[in-house]
Amino acid sequence: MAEHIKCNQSAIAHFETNRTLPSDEILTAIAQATGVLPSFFESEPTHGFSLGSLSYRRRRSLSKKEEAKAYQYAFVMYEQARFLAQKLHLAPLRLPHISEKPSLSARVTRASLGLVPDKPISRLVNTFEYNGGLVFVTPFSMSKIDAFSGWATLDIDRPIIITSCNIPGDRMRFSIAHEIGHLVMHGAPKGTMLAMEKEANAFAAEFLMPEDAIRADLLIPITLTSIAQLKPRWGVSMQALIYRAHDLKIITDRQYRYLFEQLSAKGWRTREPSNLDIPLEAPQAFSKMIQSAYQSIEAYADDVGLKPAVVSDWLLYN
Amino acid sequence: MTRKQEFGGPDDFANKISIHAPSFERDFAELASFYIQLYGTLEESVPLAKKYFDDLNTPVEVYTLYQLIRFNTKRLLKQKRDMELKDDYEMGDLSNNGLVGTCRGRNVRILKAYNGGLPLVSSEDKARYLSQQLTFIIGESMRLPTGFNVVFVWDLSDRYELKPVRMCCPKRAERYRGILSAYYNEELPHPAEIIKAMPEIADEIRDIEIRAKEGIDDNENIHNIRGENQTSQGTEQPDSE
Repeated sequence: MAEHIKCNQSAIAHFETNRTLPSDEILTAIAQATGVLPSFFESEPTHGFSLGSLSYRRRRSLSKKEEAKAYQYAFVMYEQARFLAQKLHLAPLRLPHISEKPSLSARVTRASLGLVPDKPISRLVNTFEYNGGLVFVTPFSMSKIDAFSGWATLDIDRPIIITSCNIPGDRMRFSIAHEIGHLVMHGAPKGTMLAMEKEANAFAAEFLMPEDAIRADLLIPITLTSIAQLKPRWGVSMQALIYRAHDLKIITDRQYRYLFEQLSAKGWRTREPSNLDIPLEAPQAFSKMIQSAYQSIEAYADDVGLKPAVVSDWLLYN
Repeated sequence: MTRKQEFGGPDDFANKISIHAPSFERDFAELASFYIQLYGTLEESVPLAKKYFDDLNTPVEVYTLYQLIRFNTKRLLKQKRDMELKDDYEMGDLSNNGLVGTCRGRNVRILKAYNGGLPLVSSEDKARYLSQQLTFIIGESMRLPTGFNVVFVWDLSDRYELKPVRMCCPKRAERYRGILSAYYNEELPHPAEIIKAMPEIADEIRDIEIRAKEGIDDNENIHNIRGENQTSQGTEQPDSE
């Protein structure tokens, strides 16, 4: 960036922290380098979307830089959605707030979203968006975060999930189900972050693999071959199926360890066999919002002070 | 009719001869569904056999372990065939607890590797079974011979874990000396790597109910992206009232 706008790094740090305001000339250069129009910077930022409203799904050692980048993207997309929402009637919101145990919350949520209790969810993202939520996929890789979420004010308070573009389809689905768990159960944070993470995982497991239905499929003895056959049907990783079998006490601690040793030996803990890849689900709500409100991407981009190429880049993922 | 008249000369005669030779790709494609069943069964049988020794709290005795694996594998394969109505294979019974069967008209044996290599051959019968010559087919009317006998070779690691199974089409074998040559002897991928992802029929993508508000012009009476009131004349600060 410093090279692009011909000033030093410390000056950029001052702009970022509002200690110095850039000149018009520098502002124009920043706009060119970031793909927006100078008018984009002319007004005060919107309020109503705070970092605290997000339930981050973290892996260890999440850097401040990555956190800030993820949040900035979420914030920009929120601003776009909020702007578009003023022109639109959005889908009815059917995602509940529940303060019950994760398994019960998951069952109630399935019913609220119009899902039958005993079948896999074949289109998770579409189901969430059809029921009034929004999903955004980052156009950049987030190595330390799979997804995060929050309630944000658009026309009404709506759930927004941001997910990374670089995760496999099965992990994306589990991450989204995990975030739905946070959105449903943790509107107001309760307990420690670790406890909330565990609750969200338990929610995701029941939401994607309801106990009664998955018990009928997870027949003993469980082997990698039998697990592999279930993966495409349920749209979850082999590891998630093994966790679930252990959690439901279908397999013992020893069998659980044995299966994971086998996964590790084959290198499948980091990358499961590619023939079993679960297709990525693309969000559609954001592009539908633009289509419904504007005649063209150019008209929308012009209205919000962005270059059409930036909007097109977003729409590649959203 | 002489041979010359029938075939029209030496060149034509040569053109009408073909060799029926084993092909790993063709055989594996034919036997893949059986292999998936077999491997899954071996995966089940190995821990079951190990558990026998764990329950007795005694060290593993390898020959007994192998026998238990064979016993469990045969039992489970028969069980699966009956329960899942898999009618493309049939397991036979041998007096020595060996694993033999037929799959889609092919003879199949499941043998333990010997010192990490091809299995031993302990009888003349087995040696004959494992010695196979290429078949010459003359003309087009002749019925194609049945497929070659194949052997699935399984083995355990030093920690008694199942190693990748091999599929072998033996060429020549002798009693005590084992399989001396093979048309092919290929390591097979884990079934998880060949199972085709065949999800249930996915639900239709539902159209998300988003529509424009009626009577709102693009630039009228709405807040711009930064929250300022925007009119067709330009940007204004909101009223302070």
